[in-house]
Amino acid sequence: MGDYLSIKDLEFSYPDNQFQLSIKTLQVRRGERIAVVGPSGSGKTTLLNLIAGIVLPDVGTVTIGGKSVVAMPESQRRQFRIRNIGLVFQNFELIEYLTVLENILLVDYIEKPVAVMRVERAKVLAEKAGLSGNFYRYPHQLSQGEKQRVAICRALLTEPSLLLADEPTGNLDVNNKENVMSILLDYAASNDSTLITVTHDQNLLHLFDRIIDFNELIAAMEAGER
Amino acid sequence: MKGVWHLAWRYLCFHKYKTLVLVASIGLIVFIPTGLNVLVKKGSEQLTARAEQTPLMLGRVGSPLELVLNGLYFQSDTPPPLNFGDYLAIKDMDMGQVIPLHTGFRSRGFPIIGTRLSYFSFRHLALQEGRWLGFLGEAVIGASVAKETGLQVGDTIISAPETAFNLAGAYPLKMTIVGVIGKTSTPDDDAIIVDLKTSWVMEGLGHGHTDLSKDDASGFILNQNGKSIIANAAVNQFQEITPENIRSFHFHGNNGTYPLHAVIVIPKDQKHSALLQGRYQSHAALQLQNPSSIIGKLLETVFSVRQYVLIGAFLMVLSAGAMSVLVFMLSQQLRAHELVAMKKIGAAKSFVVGMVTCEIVMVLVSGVLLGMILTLLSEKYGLVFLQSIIVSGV
Repeated sequence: MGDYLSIKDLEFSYPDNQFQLSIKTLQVRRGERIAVVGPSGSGKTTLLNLIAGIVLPDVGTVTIGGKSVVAMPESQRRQFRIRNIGLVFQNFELIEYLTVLENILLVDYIEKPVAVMRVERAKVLAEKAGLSGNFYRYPHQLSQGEKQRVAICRALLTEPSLLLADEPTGNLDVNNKENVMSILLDYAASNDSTLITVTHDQNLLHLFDRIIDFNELIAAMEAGER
Repeated sequence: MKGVWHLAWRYLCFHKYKTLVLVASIGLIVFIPTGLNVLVKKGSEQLTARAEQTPLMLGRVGSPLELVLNGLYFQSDTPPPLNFGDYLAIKDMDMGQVIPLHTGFRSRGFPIIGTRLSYFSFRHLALQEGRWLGFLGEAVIGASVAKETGLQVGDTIISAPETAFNLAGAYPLKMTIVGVIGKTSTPDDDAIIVDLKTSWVMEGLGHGHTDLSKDDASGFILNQNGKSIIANAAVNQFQEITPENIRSFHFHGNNGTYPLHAVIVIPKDQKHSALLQGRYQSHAALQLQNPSSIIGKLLETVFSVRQYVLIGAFLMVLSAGAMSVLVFMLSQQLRAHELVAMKKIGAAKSFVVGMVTCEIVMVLVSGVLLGMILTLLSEKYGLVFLQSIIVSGV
């Protein structure tokens, strides 16, 4: 099985601060489940943003399924992200004025004409996530766990081959953590999708195939500087 | 494209109170200058129309505006009275038709107009119900009076006492309604019209009481000298004129001194109009005014004031517009997180800008529509309102 995601000689820094991220090489297979751990501010979220093409590296390449995210024009990169990458945020990032069903369909509102909107798929996803009674409720009427499940359903609507989850269990209690992780892992397993999850939760690490520790990355960077 | 409109619509619906305030603000921004223009234009047309239908108006020397506004619209303070003799004098000149007006009393807030039957034909008034005035103590009411009070033919209405604590003053008179005038959208809708003599009864110039010549009235006689009988305070004065007591009603003194508040004068032609105006031009006690020219002067004042009002409205529009822009900008700041999340998920910058633009367009269009509806409503229903403002403000 070849590499699905490949990062080579990547360097990134924000223009207005000292932060710098360097990754010599990172290769991820299709269907692999990876946990990214490390201290706050070490660049874990930035790594997810670089993979998704939300921000671009100063140098280096990010390749997904054989296509260079960096080389794509902006509009193509956006389309690629919509069709291939599912994003789950720590703070859910639900749209307050849309119902549960509309939030799940957000990508379709952004991209598709109404006639081909995946309403049935959205309903099936919501039902699987235990949200069947909440289709027409608003985010402020949901619990934290329900909000994260809506955010996951939104990420899964497009049947992405790559799931990027930024601390998806960070704001949840134990029961909801397990629930949310099982939804993500089940989806990844049944669709042969790659899952990269940023987490601080040591208790969840056994669920993943591989762990990328940013402590080691930082140490390597510091050694390189010396 | 549909998704942009849907999200914009959902945002506005979710924040319905903010949306309503913005729509109302923009509606007012549109309505204030346009509505004001429409109101002033339509109001001036109506004011001018009634004035132009009334060629000349005779009154006591004083404020010409007060005389005309009172004689035409039954508003403003009652002008100083002229005498019935003055009416007879201009009538005797035989230069045209003359119609007396007594406007000194009110009932339930509506003016009581004492006049002659010729007033109805002069104003082209038609009955909706009942009949015209036939006897002393009868009243015909305007359409608005009937609607607002619920009074009908056969009901009675009592004039408001003018001097409740003055024994020598006017007492309330109970009048029978014999007709209701059809709607005219003029001040006649708000009038209670009675015969001139009925107004004089209200003035206390005429009255009816127990017949003192009868044998059983001896208890009411204070002093009798031949045919001259002086009644004591116990005599029963009638507060309502009925078929049974109407014969007892009589007037005291010289009717030439009885009061009127205006006389509508309709000269036979231009020549007679000029002659009449010449005769009263330097009259010491009376004024003969051309209502059209008096209202024209009033409107000139209103139009000059309108310029200042429009400048004020323009400044208000500017500040309301600036506030609306500020609200939009602050909203975008508050939504920064949401808009960034949309971009992360895959929305193009043009999609986000389009969504916000759609929201602004929907609010603007709704606001403009509201402003236009308010303008149309003011064109249809705002005239009476404007008229009352102009007239009561003078």
